[in-house]
Amino acid sequence: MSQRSQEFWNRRTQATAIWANLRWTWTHIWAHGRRLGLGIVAVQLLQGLQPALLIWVTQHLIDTAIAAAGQGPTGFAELVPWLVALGLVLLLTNEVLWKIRDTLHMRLQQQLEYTLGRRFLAKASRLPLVFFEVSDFYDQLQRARDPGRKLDRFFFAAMHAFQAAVQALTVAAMFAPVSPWLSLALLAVLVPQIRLEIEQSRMFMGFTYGQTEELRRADYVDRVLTGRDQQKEMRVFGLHQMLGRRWRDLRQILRRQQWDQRRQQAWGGLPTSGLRVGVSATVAVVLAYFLGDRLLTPGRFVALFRGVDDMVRTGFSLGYSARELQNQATEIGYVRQFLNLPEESDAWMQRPPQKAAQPRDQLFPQPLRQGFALDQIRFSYPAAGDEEPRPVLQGVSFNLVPGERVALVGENGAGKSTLAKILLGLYEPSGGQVQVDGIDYSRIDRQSMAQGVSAAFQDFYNFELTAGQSIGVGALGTNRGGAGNDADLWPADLVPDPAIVAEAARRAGADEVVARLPQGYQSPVGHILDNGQGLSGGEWQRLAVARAYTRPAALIILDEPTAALDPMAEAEVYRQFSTLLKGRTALLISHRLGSARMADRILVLQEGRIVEQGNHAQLLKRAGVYAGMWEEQASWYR
Amino acid sequence: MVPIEYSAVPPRPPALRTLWRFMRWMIQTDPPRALALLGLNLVTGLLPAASVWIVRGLFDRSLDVYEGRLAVAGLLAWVALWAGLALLQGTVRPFLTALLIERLKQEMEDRLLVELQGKARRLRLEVFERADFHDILRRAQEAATPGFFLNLLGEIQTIFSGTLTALSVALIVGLWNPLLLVALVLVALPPPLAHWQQGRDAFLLKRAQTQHERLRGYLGRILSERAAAKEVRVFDLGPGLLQWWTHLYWQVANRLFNQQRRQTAVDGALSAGSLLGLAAAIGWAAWAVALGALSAGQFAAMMVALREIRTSVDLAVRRFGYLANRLLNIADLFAYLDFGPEQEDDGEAPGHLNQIPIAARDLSFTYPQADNPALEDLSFTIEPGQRIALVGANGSGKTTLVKVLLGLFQPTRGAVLYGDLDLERVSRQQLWDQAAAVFQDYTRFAFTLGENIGLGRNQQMNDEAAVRQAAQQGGADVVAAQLPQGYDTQLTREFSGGTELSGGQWQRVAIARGFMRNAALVALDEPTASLDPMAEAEIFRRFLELSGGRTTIVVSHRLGSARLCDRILVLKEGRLVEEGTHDQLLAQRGEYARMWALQAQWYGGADI
Repeated sequence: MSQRSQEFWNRRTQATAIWANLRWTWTHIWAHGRRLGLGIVAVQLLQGLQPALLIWVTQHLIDTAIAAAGQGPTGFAELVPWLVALGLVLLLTNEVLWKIRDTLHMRLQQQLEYTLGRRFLAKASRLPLVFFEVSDFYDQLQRARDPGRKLDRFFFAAMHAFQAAVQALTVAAMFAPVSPWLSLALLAVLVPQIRLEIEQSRMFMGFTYGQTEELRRADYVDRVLTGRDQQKEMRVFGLHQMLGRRWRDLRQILRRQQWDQRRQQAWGGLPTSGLRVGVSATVAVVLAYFLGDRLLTPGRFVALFRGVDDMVRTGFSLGYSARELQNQATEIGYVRQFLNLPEESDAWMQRPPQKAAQPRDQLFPQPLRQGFALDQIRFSYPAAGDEEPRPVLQGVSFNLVPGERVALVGENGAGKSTLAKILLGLYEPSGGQVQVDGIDYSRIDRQSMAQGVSAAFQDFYNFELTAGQSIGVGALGTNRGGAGNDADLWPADLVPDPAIVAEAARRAGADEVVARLPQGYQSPVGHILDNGQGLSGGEWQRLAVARAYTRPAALIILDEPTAALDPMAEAEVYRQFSTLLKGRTALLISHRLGSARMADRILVLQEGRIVEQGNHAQLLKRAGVYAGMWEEQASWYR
Repeated sequence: MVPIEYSAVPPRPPALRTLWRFMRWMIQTDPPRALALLGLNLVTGLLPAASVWIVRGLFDRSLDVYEGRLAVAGLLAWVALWAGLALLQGTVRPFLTALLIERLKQEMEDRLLVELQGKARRLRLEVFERADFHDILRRAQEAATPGFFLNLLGEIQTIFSGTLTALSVALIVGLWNPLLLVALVLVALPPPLAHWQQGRDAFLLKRAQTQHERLRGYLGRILSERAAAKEVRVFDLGPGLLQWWTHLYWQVANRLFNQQRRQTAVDGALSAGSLLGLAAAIGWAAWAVALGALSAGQFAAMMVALREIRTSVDLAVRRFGYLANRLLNIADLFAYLDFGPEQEDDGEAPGHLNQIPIAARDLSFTYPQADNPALEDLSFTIEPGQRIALVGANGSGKTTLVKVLLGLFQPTRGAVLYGDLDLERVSRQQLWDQAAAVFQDYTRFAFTLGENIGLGRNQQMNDEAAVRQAAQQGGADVVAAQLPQGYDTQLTREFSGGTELSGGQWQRVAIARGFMRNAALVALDEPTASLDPMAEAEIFRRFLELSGGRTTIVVSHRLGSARLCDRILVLKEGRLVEEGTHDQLLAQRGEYARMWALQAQWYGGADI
């Protein structure tokens, strides 16, 4: 294919993409704000017609004025209808309409931001966990962020183009009575102008939105230099000077880049604006000759003379919106793609669907009778790019009896947390199966699954809400009819039951943390809410453990729950854990072997395999991996 | 000792004072360009007046041509004049301003960022602990976002030249008919005044909603970001949080929309009134034409002039609202830059830290805006080269004490003595040159692994041997071995191609960073919390081997490691309750003995 036709095809696919996205956008607007959408179209149409109307009124007003000059009141009477018309046309100008349009726009934008934002978040919360763990997958989500804004920008680019097109056609039509060739010539001049403008705005966009690597790095160093959490290290290690220098160096590169771009843009803008003046002047000269031949009246001359200016200005609008349409079509593409992503794990685990057409129609059995059975579980993270998939679990089998307390131990990287996630139903194994009371995990309804299991993770998330909500976030809405202290911020039907929260806090030793806060459970923790209090790692960890206790789950997993706790709190967490309600199964992952000792059974994981299992005494007798680790730790306390 | 004065958040100054301070700041930043920009606008603001004058000539001549009194060539001269003016206005001016503004904007942004960085460096560390500090900083940073100055300069420019245009054009019209001028002013003024107020109202409403917006954004992040993905699924947070998100969304959206609707009503009425006034003024001019008091050319030029005034007023008006808004941001920014207290940089050299005792005398510390002291009446002495363990429950003040001893926080009462010298008189710079600290919440720099370690002694950052040695001492050589590009691996996912480390791996990196320093005074705040037992034992053993001759302060929850230190200080609710060696403390049967028993029981005999 020749380069020329290649270019043609590229443009064509681009145009098709724009058209398809335009239809999708409009369908969405039609469903969620059709009156607003139509209102905006109407306003844009009026705005597009305004310049032509103004030319028409101006022409007649001036011609009538010339005829009326010195005629006294009778002459003035002739002028009155045109003056009224002028008043009406002026009302259609931007000034009045832009406010109305902005108001409609704001509401439409809110509608779009809401409907699409909600769809986006709902989608994100339904995707399998493994989607988040592989950067290549996760990037698809990052690219689709702010979907409402993207749609809105796209729609507005389209509206902008529509208005400019209406304006170009109607203004050009005003020249037709003088000579149709003039109209055609003016429209023809738009073509090179639009091309130049597209070129210009492409440069501008690259400049404004092109987040270059240097820019992001400079921003990052700036954040480190000014951030709150980094200041103590900045000072003790004396990093200000060195990082300041690094920032200045990056900034220098950036400045040069920006300056070069801006200069290119400024020089590149000269032809466009020169062309504008050239076209205006040429048309003015032509009009002057027409005037000399009495082919047009002075009124029309004056009015059209101004009209040329309107005409060249539409070239700018058209070029800009064409470019914006192209850009936003790509962005909308990301959004549509994200919203259509598959939600089943199989699709993300890079394997054919194994249990196809098996609906998730089973409930998590409560109470448990037989317990959990893991059979030959294998797991590798999906390979990203050219990496080899690294097997994390290589055939793990064991059972958990209801009410059993099991400790899982092993070195960093042995696969303990991955195994926990499989037991929680967060990952689907790459091979083997997990069953609870004989029901395969893949058949269990997700919501019901969430009722059946609970956990505190090693890398737990800090919910920066009020202390009570941070603990009770897993039990939102359990306090039916109760109200929070600020109905504006906390919807009344999402308040967790204070009794559940207090009980869970007590079990995790989080009640001591809360007692130290000025407003108890109502105190904001973290920095999202106004006047929030920062907590230490240990305090956050206690909230996380308490959170796990808020749910009446049949299986509770605590992954390294005491890493940041003091000895007293640690002992308390383990004591509470060992006195869990009867019938609940518990899995404890810990580096502190002393705590594993109280478990009914200990599983020792090494490089993705269970190498030993049994109770403390049995494992010590074996003098294997566990016994070695135990010896190491116990020696500190002898 | 003088207690520290914490700044109150000052009330916002009047907008004009902020504008004045900002203009001075702008001109100081880059006097030639700032003045050139203002000068350019002064000249170009007058161009529209010239264009009105040309248009009048053009129309008068066109009438002459139409009536055969003048050859077309006579008209063309005016067309050429007009085109020249258009070239100046539409081509030369944007070209020059674009270049001037770009440079000026760069200078201003750079200066501002440097000032903010300097502020962060100079502010006393306690200030960062204020509960309201986040809000103050966040507001200040709004003005530091890219594009802020570009828009601001655009606004100032538009308002400046728009006002000039309106005034000069009005002057010409006034020369033709003074009464018309009065009418014009009356018609043109109300909208900008309304906009000024509306800009402020909008800003204040937005400010009142920031907590809602922040919370909503946060809920959105919980639902869609990697960090909370596990909890969202295990606790099935999706439906509840979405409902909450929706609630917050419409709370804010409806308030903003209602404000906008009210403003539109007011604005629409004002603008419509003003435009009808304009039409009336034109009608009046037409009346003058009918009476023969105004030429048709003047009339045509007047229509152009009136539109010119309207356009420039219209443009300026919109910018007025934005400017009002932005000035409030700038006021917040200046308020932050004035914020105190700051850390003084001067002081005396403390001597060799491992050769002088470090002592606390009746030391108390209270966090800003807190009611209860975090540390109360502590007195103790650390002998040169001693290894000290700080133990106690979460929240007993261990980390705070480390920060006070290192001179990061200033005692609210009592003193820290370095030898005979009060810490307040010690040069922080020279103190920190000899110290190293690994904090509990160490920073995970988005740099390479090698740089993350090398930052400990940034003069030697590129010294590969030194970095490798520190890595080996801190146990980070294992981490390097696991990474594809070893020490050159970019860490964190902040940048593309970056690798994220596990908690345990990061901790090794942070410890290696401390080792890099080869310092006389070392503080380790819970250095091994997320390591497995083998790794912990190994790192601790190595650390103590290497700590010979240094003064060392270790905060640890693992009493097994604390016992290896020369002396143990036991903190409880901010007070020093016990001190001594492991054996002494066990014999005392107090707080320490109780904690020890709790931990050791797990490792005791065959039965619990």
